[in-house]
Amino acid sequence: MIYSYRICDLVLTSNTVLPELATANALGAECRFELLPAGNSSADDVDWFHHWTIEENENDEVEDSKEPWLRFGRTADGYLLRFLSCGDFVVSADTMKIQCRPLPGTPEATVRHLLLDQVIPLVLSRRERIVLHASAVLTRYGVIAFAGKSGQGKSTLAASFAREGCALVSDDCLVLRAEHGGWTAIPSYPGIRLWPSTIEEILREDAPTWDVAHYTIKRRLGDTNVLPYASGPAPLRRLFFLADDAGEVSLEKLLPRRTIMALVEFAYNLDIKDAAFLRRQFDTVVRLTGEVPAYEVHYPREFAALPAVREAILKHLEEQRDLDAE
Amino acid sequence: MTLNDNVRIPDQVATRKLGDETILLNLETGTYFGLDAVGSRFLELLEQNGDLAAAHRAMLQEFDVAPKVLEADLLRLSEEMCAKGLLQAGS
Repeated sequence: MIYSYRICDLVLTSNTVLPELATANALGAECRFELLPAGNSSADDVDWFHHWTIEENENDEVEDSKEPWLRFGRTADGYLLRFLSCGDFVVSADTMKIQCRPLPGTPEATVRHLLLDQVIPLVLSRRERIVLHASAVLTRYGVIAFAGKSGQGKSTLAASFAREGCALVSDDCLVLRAEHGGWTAIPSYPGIRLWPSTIEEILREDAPTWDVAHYTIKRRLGDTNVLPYASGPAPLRRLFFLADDAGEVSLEKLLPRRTIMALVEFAYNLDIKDAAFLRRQFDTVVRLTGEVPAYEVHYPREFAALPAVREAILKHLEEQRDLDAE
Repeated sequence: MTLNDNVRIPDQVATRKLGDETILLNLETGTYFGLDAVGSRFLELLEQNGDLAAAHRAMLQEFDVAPKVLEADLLRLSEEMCAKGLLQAGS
């Protein structure tokens, strides 16, 4: 049985059910996912060229573990993404095909999480102008994006806005396209991953949630009746980069070079050694920086501060409304 | 490094100007580097002929700064950029 879904405007067929995604017409399929039987990792002739070590721990903090948790390898046919404790994802060079061989015992929810929230964003980085590690919501002024390191509160801030009626555009994979003389934000897929304490504090009601992965206590919330989800692409108005914990709420306009550095830091990139890709990405972030204002948001990391953060951001957008319209 | 040295921007380095700031990218290492308005002017002068002494002379005319202070700043910046592969000694 083959299923067909949409994620970030990509039509993906799969040999396994992906209940997190909305279904789509398979005729326009641009990428095929195949879940293989579990097995131990084995691959010859892999050029390992990069790895990620940053992980979130269960206390909503970031730690820089010494051991890599994802290794990037180049093979004769494409790329091998090895999640050391979960399994391998093989991506074809043209990114049309993704195969996963999970390690024995890896739960299906974990495989789906890795596919949807790690591998697909990396695959999209080869297809789209830019894919940011950012959450985003649709306000009455347009889409605003929140980028920041893992554990800095992107999803919490986005959920806080969504609870007030701003539709979610993305949890942490934001595709941006240069269109119509500006930048358009493409919704990723319905749902958001939150810590149980965040769900309790922000939603204040019993909402259905699901496991994200076996290695985190985060819960997946996908009920659009609880948190609304954007129905389609919308113009991007602001980039907000989350600064470290601060004593009070403030917004600081970022200089172009800091914006560019931040965009590069939070842009997904499947192949950081591909010079042609880096050059294209460079041009993209320069253009984005010149066309969408970027700010750093400072605020105390406590739930009680979230209304003040929302208010400061919305007030800023209201004050800048006329400039944005020009 | 001294003001008698010449430097050049290697082929694998891309530069883009945005307002009065400049961003450099080393395409081999993926290293990004940002220059403020003064640093951007320095790079602009280096792009002409790579002559550090000529850049120093020109900037003394344009900025209110003591020669020794400017020399130290330019050499420190040049060495940092060379270390990141964003400049290369030699014409």
